[in-house]
Amino acid sequence: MIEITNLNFGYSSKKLLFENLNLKLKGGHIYGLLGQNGAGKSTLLKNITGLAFPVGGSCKVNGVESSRRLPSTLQELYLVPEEIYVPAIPIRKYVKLTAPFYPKFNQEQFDNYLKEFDVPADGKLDQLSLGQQKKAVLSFALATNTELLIMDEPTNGLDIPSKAQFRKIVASAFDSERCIIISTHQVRDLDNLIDTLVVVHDNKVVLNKSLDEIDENFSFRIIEEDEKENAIYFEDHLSGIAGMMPHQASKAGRVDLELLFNALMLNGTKIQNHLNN
Amino acid sequence: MNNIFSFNRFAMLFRKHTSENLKFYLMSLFVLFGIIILFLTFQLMQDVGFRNNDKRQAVFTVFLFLAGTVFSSLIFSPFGKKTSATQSIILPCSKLEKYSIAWLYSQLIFPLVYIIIYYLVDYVFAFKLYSNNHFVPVQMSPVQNLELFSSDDYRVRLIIPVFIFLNSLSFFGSIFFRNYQYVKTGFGLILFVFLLIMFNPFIVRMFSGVKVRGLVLFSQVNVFRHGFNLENALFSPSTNVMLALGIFLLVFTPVMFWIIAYHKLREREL
Repeated sequence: MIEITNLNFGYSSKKLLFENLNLKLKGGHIYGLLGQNGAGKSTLLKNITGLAFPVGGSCKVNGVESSRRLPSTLQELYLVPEEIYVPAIPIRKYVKLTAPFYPKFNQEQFDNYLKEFDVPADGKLDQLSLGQQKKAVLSFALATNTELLIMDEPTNGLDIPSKAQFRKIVASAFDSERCIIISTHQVRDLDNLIDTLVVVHDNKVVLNKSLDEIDENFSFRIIEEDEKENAIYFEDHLSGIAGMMPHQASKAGRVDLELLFNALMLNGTKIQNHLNN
Repeated sequence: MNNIFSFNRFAMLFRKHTSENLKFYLMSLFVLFGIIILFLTFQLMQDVGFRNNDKRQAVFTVFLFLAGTVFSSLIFSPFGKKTSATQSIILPCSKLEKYSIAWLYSQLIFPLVYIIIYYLVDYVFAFKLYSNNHFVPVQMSPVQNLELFSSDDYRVRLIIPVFIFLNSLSFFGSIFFRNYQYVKTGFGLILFVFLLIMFNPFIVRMFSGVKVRGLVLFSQVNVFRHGFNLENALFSPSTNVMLALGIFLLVFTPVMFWIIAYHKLREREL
């Protein structure tokens, strides 16, 4: 689906943001893209969608350079940006005018998503609240059924019930052909949704592993004081010391994304070595 | 699938562009012609404004140039703002289709709509109101010819090419700059003309070997020595030279601006 090979990119020719970046993303996965502010998440997404052109290397979507922006590539790609733009027209009209560009758009799905998000189908886009606008755009994006769906901070501006609805709707819109990438700062919003984690740090992809693989190698739990020295990473929580431990078969369980992310920021090399071994 | 141009996608994009912008376009036209009608009413009440069509022509030309270039300078503005640029760039249409819509609206549809509506308004003012003495305080002797432009009016041959040149420049500026396109394009044009005036004497000297001082662009060169005009019209452009220059400026330049604008659109990044 997405093949990035030796990608070099920088907004200024003097300072490259990505140098020889390699990444492969496949259909049938929901990827969580994590990274600190300024790590290059949005820039990576821009390169994937053809909104920015690599200085060197290649970035291909379904075998075609995304920078060519071919209609055949674009009709299988949808990006929900962090800051959305909506024209001053009713939702129905927007769908009537825009949906024909996406051959797999499903009107019934769109109506259902709007209903689940509690967005009035007859509303005028620019007169909805920001949260409602985002929900309308997310509904449209999911209903396009494009092979590649990218969402940049999709839960920004959504209230707590809507975040839960979002996870439910994304899960229902997913199929084995589709590749969904969700970029966010809010790791809790990805809980029980993503199956693969991609972490960008210091302008490099420091992790691209399935949660199953991570789960096989590490356990995330409250640890005792004497376990600290064996922990790959630990931090104080209200309930005790939360630790990331090398895998212990009997205690394998849910991956704590926040703990893993913090561990990666601090002990990235140690984790990578552990995974590679 | 044709990735370069599809009439079906073009039609869908035309419908989308029109529907999303129709309200804004109609409101703008309403305001524009509201102002024009005010100007014409003022002239009508003065009478002389209609006796001599110079002033009506001036209103037509000034508003055509102003409104046309402002419209053209805004045509690519969705590609300049971060929020709307994302949607505009990744919409599944080819670059040529997106460009064609912008070109069609700014270089053809707007000027045509303006000319048609202006002529309708002018017709009502000249042939219905003025001819029948409505709103005219003092009717002087009857005027034979009330047409805005007669068929042999030389001004038409000047206004149209100059408008095409300025309009294509604004179109180019609209994609070349990301914001304040109209102001930046205007600034660029002024700077270019200023530099041309500054360097014109040097260019003439290079060709003629004669030292010249202040010189009007594209005019004849008179060489004075000891207060006498010794070499009158050393460089007096012939009709053919002027024609070639006119064609270069008014045909080649707009085509060049349109081509560069297309390439700028292709290269537009976020």
